[in-house]
Amino acid sequence: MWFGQWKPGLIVGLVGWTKVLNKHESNSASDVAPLLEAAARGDSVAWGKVVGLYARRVYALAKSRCQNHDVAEEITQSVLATLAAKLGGGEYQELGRFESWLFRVAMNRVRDHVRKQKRRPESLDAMESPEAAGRAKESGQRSDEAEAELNRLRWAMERLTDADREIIELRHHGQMNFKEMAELLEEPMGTLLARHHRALRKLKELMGGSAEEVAQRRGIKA
Amino acid sequence: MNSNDNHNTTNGEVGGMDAELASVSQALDRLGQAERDSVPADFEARMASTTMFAMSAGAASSAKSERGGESRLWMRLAAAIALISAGAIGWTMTRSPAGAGSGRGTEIAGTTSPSGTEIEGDDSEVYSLVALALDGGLGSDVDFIVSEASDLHNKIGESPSLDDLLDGSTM
Repeated sequence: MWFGQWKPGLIVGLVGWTKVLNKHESNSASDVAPLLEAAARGDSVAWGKVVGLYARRVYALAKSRCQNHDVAEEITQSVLATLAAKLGGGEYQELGRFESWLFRVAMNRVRDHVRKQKRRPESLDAMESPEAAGRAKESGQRSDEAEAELNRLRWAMERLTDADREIIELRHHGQMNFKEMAELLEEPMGTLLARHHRALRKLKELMGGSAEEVAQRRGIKA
Repeated sequence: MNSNDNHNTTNGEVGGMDAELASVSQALDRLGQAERDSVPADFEARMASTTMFAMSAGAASSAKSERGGESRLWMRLAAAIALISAGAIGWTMTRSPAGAGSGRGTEIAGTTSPSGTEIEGDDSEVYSLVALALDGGLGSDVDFIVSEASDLHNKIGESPSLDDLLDGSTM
């Protein structure tokens, strides 16, 4: 009886997740493999295309964690240099898991950097809490509402666990689909979906509502 | 060149989420997009040019590694042949009667051949080793066996039915 009531919702949910899983597959292995092969033969144009496909995604992943443009650029360059060396040396073999491999290299570089960095990044201290963002918006110091929203999100992400944060960054900054993420992190896809869902819920709790809600609460308190 | 067009954001992909979490997911998509767009305009071109060298370096390194592997293989082969040759020469020299520097061969050929009761130098060493082993390892056991046999002899001597025991007539 109860199952009959839930069945339509369950089906809608499954269809929704299927869309989620299949959406991020534009750079499939079959698309990238010819470019990689050409690049390995020294085709600079093909190499440029490979860099164009992945450089910004790797950069965004590194920037989100390190909060530093120069460091993120350095990590991106290091990852691409590793890829180039592997291609040039004939060590890389296309097995349909290129993105997983590439982002694993990127994640390892980011982790190494974070491990080496003893103190917290300076920009983190300057990062605004939701309350601060609300005050800034009220006083007109930050006119860009979208930028304030992003800063609040960055602030909330800093308070996630490393594992939850990696899921979020791989998904939304690295633009990976869950299948690739499952290969990269060597975890079942169902586990990753659950962790992603939990991380979103934590972020929602941390942010405590929209900027308007924060401003409204301050107004009521005042 | 830009990958942003290749990967759609997760907007509209949140059929399984509730509305609140969907809004967070969409905000994260915007954040990710903002981070990807925050790079300078020549970012990809610069990255491609600065990393292209690594490809040729990787190829050179691979070729060098292959050459190094080949040379190492030849060196191993040469060392093995030299080792086997040295062993064979040494064995031949020690076994051959006419080998150069073989004192034993000279003695056999000469008139001062040792008599049958004498022990040659090499054999005497072997006997010494055996004697040492017996002294150190079996000597105490031999004493024990001797004492046990002596006790048994005494007991048999004290027995009144010694003859019966010896010929088994008590059966």
